[in-house]
Amino acid sequence: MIIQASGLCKAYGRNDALRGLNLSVAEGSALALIGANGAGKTTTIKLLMNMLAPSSGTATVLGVDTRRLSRTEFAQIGYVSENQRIPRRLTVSQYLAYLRPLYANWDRELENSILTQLRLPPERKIGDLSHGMRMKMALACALPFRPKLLVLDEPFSGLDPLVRDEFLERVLEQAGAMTVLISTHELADIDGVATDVAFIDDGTLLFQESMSALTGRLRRVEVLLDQEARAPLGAPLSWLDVRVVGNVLSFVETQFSEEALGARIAAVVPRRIRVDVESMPLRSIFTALARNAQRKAG
Amino acid sequence: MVWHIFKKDFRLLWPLSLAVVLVGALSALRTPVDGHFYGSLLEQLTYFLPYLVYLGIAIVAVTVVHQDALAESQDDWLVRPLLRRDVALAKVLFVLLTVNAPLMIIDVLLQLALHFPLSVSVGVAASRALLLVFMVSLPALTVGAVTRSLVNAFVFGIASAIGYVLLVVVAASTLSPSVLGLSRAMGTWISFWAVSGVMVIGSTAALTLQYATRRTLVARSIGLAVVFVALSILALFPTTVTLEIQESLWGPPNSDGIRLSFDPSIQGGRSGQETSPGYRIGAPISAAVAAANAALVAGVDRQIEKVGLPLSISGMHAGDILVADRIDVRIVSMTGNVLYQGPGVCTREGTGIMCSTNRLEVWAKAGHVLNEEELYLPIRLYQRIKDEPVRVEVSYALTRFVAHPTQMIKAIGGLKALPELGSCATRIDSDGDEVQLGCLTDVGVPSCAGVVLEDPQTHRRNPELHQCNPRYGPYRRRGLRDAVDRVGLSIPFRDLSGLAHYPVGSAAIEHARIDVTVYDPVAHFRTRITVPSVRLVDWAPPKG
Repeated sequence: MIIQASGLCKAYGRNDALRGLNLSVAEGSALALIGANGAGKTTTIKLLMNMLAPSSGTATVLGVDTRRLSRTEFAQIGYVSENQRIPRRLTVSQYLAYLRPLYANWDRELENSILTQLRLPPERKIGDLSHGMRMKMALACALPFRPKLLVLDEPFSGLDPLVRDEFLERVLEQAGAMTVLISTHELADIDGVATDVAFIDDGTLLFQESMSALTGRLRRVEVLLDQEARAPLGAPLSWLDVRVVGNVLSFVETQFSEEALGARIAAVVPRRIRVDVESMPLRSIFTALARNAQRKAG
Repeated sequence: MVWHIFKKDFRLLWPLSLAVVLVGALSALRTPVDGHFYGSLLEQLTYFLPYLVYLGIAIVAVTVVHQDALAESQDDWLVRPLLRRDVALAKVLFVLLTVNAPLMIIDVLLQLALHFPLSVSVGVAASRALLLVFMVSLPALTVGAVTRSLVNAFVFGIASAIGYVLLVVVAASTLSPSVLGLSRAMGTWISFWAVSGVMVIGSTAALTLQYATRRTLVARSIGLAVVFVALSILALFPTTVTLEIQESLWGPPNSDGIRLSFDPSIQGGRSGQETSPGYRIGAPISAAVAAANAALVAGVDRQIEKVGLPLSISGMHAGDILVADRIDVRIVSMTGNVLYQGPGVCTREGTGIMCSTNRLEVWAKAGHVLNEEELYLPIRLYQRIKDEPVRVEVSYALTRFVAHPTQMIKAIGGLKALPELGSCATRIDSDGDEVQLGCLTDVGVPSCAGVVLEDPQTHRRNPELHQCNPRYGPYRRRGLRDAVDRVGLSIPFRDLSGLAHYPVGSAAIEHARIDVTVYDPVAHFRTRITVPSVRLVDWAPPKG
């Protein structure tokens, strides 16, 4: 595992931002850390990057305890964050020139190609760049040394679709050679990027699994009844977001399989005319899971 | 990598450093422009410049650290392959090379322009630069390391100052004045170096800890503790401790035959000489400060009663000065009850500590000297015990000074290098009633000095003027404000009201000269006198 966190806790005063987070990221994967605003995504990443110290628990990155991350590890980590502070009064080229000697394997050609592709003005001061340009600038500073691990903390926040696509395109070009950890609350952003997904809510990891498994096990199900539907008593725990409208009962099945679904429906709804099952877009999956988490918490 | 980070910071901050150095140059220029004498309009207008330089150094130090901030968790450098040690060294190097070193060079150039020797100029500039590093740069770097922004740093500084003031107020209202170091400045060099030590060690510890672990709260606590300890040492360092340290450094006590005793045969007023209000060693005080001092003295006078005990001092050598660093008084009733105990020059009334600047000083008298020990007592206590016989015990910590050879300079238009003072000049003041002697000193400010206006043709002399501001350090005191200190004094030769006439007056002033004598401390000892039975009312000055 390139990242391994165990029982990670972080409190800011009396507020617990993380409560015993367990997380693992396999080498070569692209893990999307998803969750609502304030769920603990940024705190998790800052702990992993040793920008913050955990209140308790441990984590390793590239096999090294995060509290002991050194030049060797940071030379293999690219980091981009929406609120990253880069010297505003340096120009783009001045800052890149400052960074170059820090990395033994800085690829000048790759740097030039990224600058061209992202259309970054080399002589513009960083402070004069727009938010989108600054994010692209941060990416341009994170990729030329071909990092083993790329950490993106809410990279698309506030970006227009065009900039977002340019950004993603650039990441995807190098994605195969590195592990990516990306935090976001916008699931559309990670569609086609993430291989794995971890859902964090209120400082706790609710689940972590591969994207294919997640999309494979969640289905929206609509059952057409021959009479007005009622909320079924004893609905299976795997059903979320159960709704009743007229003759239609709908829910999200979180443990989908063709065989089991029929049996489960039959157990609670004996008189049905038709069952429609459809796969869900990521956004709907996230919404259903988030609502369920909030319902349990509330 | 240290140099690499330095270059990045230099690219960003060179205008700020340059501005500070320019202000430093402007501040240094005041000395040659202003010349030997205090009090010009230019000096008054630019009085703040040295403090602006300190502030500038602090701002540069804080800002350079904030370029790669430690107290934040958003800075890009935190995830770059940089050794924090290199970052810290780069910041220290930046302040030293872009601010402290240029300011030191300016100090050297200033002194060379004033024709001081190169070795002296470099030595003075280096020691001042070192002090600025210890007292300003290093603490400011620490403040930068534990704060997020310049505003944050200012808030941190102001909060520390408020906390410190509260600490002093609490200490002053609860501790005995005999414990606090409010009465005498003799130990200043000890407390100053104690403060410097605390600042250097504490700042380095907090800075190292913060760069090593980024535990901002812990580093902040250490920083605050350093500030509090350092400032408390300056204000509250016990005189008893400084005396002990001073005496242990001084070697065996040596009274050299000088003896003090109570002598009731002396009647009448005080025989000791008054210090001249016109003479001043070091920087001048403003009219506002003088008025505040006068108000303080008047306030003290309303609350205390002065008792003058006749004192006989024998064994004085010609040209010597005897100065009491501390006088402790005990008044005991005939039944053995202690009625009063405290420093001879301070008294405490209500919630405040009132201190008079008066003290025992005996100047350049050979053989047997008559003096008067002034006891200051709370007026209520005095009223209660004035008529009953009491035993008075007075303990003295004394220092003997000896004179350097007397130097001479023309009273008007003189310009001469005096060995113990530096480059000196003379002129008549704007009122036409005083001769001003002003010196730009390359040897530091002397502890004590005396001056006499003399007519070389008639050998008539005006009364000697003198003042002591004793410093017992192994070096002469130097100001931190400027590389070159000024020593100034005014010697009256004419009474504008026409009531007094001086032996060397207006007629002789053209060819008169000033004899200047500088004194240095040579021996320290303690002694005690006991007056077995006395009625205080018998020795109080007549009322009205």
